[in-house]
Amino acid sequence: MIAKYAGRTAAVLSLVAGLAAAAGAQTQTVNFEVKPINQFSITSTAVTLTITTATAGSDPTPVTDATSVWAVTTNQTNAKISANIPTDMPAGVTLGVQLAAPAGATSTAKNLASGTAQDLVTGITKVKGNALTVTYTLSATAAAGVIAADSRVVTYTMTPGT
Amino acid sequence: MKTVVRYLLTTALLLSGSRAVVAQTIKFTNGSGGTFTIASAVAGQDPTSVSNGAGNFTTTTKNNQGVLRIQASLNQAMPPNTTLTLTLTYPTGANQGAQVLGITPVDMVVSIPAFQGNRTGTVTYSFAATASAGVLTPFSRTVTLTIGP
Repeated sequence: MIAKYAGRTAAVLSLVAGLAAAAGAQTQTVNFEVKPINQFSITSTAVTLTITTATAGSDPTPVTDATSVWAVTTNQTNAKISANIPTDMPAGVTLGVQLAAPAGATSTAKNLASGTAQDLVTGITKVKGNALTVTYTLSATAAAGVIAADSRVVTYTMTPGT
Repeated sequence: MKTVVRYLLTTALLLSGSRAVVAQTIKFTNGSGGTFTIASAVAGQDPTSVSNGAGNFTTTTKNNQGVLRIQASLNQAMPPNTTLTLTLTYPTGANQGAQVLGITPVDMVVSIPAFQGNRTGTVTYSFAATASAGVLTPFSRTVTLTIGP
């Protein structure tokens, strides 16, 4: 009989000991949200391209500039970068541009024109890209002749994805 | 009669045990941990993290409870590519600094010496998400602070 009570008492005391070791606790609710984010930037404000040479029998030699870089962050799917210029280039002259693509996106070199913007990088999806090269190319045919210094403002537009 | 005595004995012991459970307590002294909204980024960088000082917490301990520690955990893991980091300040013990929270309790303050009375600390949360986390509609997590051996 004593052994019977001793066993039960020991069990209860064991339970009590276990409870005594338990930690005090308190909870708190924290709320979160991540909104759509689409940011891009281009570092260089001005680029100068000058055509001065040719190989005999060929059009003047195109010149390129790859000193500009761009950066992008998006947390959406299939964002894109496009560009255009306010007025067309002179006859026989083309201004091309290509943006290096961030991981997973697609880059396409395009000649710029006024009107509809040209898609340069597509499929930009949930990524950040930094120090991505911007390459401009100026080409002219012999028929373009000599052209005085001129300029175009290239407008880049980022279209958010979904 | 014997049965009644047995139940009384058991009840008395359990009540004694219940007092032991609440001998050390920890309480947030403000109701909400706050709302964290990530809405901006610097181009080329991950979205800008957000943080706040969510307020204070208070512990109540007794001299006979030995060395204690404070731990923190979440009721559910955070979404992929997001983190919730908790920083506590506390007037004693070894502070473990900023800790990323998950469902497994992490030590926030350890080696807290025995003390009779109340102590107050501060709570700061920081919420971070990479670009690959995507857009996240509002959600919540429950943070649990515990103080124990």
